[in-house]
Amino acid sequence: MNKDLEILKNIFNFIQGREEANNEIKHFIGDKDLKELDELLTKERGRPPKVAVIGKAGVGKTTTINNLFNANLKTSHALAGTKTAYLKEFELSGGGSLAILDMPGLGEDLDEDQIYEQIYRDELPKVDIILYILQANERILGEDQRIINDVVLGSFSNFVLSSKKEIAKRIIIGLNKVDLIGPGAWDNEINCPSDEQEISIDRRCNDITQKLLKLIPIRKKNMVYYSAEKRYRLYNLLIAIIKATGNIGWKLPVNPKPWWELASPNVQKFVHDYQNKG
Amino acid sequence: MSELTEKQQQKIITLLKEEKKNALLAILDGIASFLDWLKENTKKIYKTISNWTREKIKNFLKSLIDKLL
Repeated sequence: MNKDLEILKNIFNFIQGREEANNEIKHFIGDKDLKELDELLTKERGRPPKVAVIGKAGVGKTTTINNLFNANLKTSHALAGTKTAYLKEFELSGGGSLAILDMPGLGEDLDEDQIYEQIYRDELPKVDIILYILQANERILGEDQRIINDVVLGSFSNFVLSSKKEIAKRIIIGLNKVDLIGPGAWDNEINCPSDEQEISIDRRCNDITQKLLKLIPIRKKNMVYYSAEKRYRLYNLLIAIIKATGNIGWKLPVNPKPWWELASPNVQKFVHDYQNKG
Repeated sequence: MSELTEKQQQKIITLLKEEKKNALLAILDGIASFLDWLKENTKKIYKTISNWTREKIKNFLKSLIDKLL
């Protein structure tokens, strides 16, 4: 492996608390500073990034979190249709921890939405990142647009304009379930879109993105299409989140569940052989 | 089990390469975010390692570009 890459990976694993600093880093930083840095990092890692996951019922919020962060959150029936906000802090199998703020679902009842808006106003300003998930295969986006504008961005209505711009940078729009977009079908053998479906996905998601860009003040690079269920383009979503999280993005695990685990045994064997070949 | 066609093999390799590239980008973005955090929390250590780390990133990216050209 490239030596610089090896060092960069070691730096990353060290700051995430998964590996000790190697000799080159130790030599460069020096024992005293390394000890000080290690203590600072340990303290900082005790404050996991807070992610608010929002979206209408059935958009795939739990599957997204589980496959994106290699977590094992259960969809609780007690929490389904929750009327309050729950903060779940949990350790991740690959190291590190995450705090997920599960918000009450919106867009089902106007009266309830008014009650929930207050919860959003109270809770959203406390999180580091807001992940709004919508279904890319759905034709009607009006309700999502209203929720993003009135409820999500509306939660920050007391903030000054410059802060609002900063807040918008921390919102990621995830266009999930692209595997259900047609024409064209999902290739279950490899676990990826067929050539025909890839064109449809690209066209449909571009269309949604252009429409949303006209309606909500969120940057294009903060809108990512993916399929949590099929583990498709999870890295793209992760990179957008890391960038948007600013100076605490380094705490997020880079360990999404691999797409090829869902491919046919034939493909899995090919991937295994290919990766072992280096 | 039927053999994978040449086209299928190429598709898988493309997906794996894309995944490897994105994993690296995520790590580099993570390191960049760490340097921002360091700058705000300990100027002394930031001064020591930021240039060195950025140099490593630059060298690594340069070697990648050289490989592509």
